[in-house]
Amino acid sequence: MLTLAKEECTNLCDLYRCIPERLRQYLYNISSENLAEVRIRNGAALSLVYTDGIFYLTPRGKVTETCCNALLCTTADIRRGIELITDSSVYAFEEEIKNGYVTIPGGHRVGICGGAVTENGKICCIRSVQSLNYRFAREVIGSADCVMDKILDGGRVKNTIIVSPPMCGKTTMLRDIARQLSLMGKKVSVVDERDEIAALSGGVPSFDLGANCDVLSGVGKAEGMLMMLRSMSPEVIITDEMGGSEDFAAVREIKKRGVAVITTLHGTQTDAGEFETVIRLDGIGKCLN
Amino acid sequence: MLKLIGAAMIIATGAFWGYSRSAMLKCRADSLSAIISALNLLESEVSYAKSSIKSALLSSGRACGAEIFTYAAEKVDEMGVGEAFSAAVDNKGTCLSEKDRTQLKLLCQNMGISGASAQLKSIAYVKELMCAARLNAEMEYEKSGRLYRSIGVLAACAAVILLL
Repeated sequence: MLTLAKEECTNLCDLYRCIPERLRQYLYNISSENLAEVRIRNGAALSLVYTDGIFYLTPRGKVTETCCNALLCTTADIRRGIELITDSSVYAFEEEIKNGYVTIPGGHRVGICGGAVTENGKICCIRSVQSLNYRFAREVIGSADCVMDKILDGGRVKNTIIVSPPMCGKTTMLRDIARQLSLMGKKVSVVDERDEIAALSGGVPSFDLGANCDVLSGVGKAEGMLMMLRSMSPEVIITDEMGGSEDFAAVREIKKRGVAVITTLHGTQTDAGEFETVIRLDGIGKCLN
Repeated sequence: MLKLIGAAMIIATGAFWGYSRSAMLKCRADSLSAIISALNLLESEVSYAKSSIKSALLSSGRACGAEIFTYAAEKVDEMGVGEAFSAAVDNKGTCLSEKDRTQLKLLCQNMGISGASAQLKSIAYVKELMCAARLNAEMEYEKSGRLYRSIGVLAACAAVILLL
């Protein structure tokens, strides 16, 4: 079993800025090492999800294992959280909110959950928000060291898919793969649908992706991959979280053109299918094959 | 000589009063015009550009000379958008009537915290109210502006004559 190198948090301030002030003040006094998520639930205790378990905060700011007498979150916290993550501009984030999450500066993702309003079977908005899940995006330089020999065949990049359940470091590893291939001189195109891999801020990636990386964010994967193929003459296309059949159809199209695709998938098992290499992760950074 | 100076000062005071009353009526009409233009731009920012409320307020305020919008944009980070706009109306809407300010503050209720369609409806509604107010302000200026200017000078002259 191989493990990830020690995590280095580089965008903590961007995330904390979007947490309501009343709760944020407590977070400044606790350790952020191995902190993966901060969950705010209306009427429930503030949860801190570390890699080794879930903890809570007492009103005095101490980390505790039990939720009894823990610091509670209120409706006002939820409302303030929404204001901060949308920059007081909910109208500008309607599409993201419909999808259940907003990506904030720094590449962090804030999941939103509550009462969904549907129209013709599709979600049109989420009202009465019940909880917010702030997920840290971390850059771990060297997290892909253990898999680079599986991705490369001499100088050629193999079509690769990384498979794991949530919160095992797929995106973190993918980010480092992009960086390492870029540093090797490969022309890398990143299709960053949810702005998590590169986290563009003013057109500049918040994470280190090397000097040979082009990023297209905010576009669907299938469409984005074909756009990059036509316009950026990539050697490798990198994208996150394959989903529907159109994504796999785009991968087949790109394979025919001799361009490699490296991507990820939620799950525990997958047939190789279009991919030459399948990398399975089980637990944070633990590579199974 | 002293009487002449006194008379001149009285006439000047009367004229100043008359002109300032007239200027306030003009200021109200001009402010409402600027606000309406800024609301039009704000609608575009919300519906097409989808820019943040702070930058939308700033750009529409600067483009149209609507100080209420630029002031609100500066205070958004400090106060939250609803309170910032309300404070802006109170601080920078001195040319507006009480009714104008109350109507403009209707925008505060869901500014930035609702979806695009609700936001646009709210802006359109307030814009309608502001258009009606502007029409009223222009008519009042047409009717009373010259009157105030004349009354100021004439009343001062009458006072001078009586005193003399």
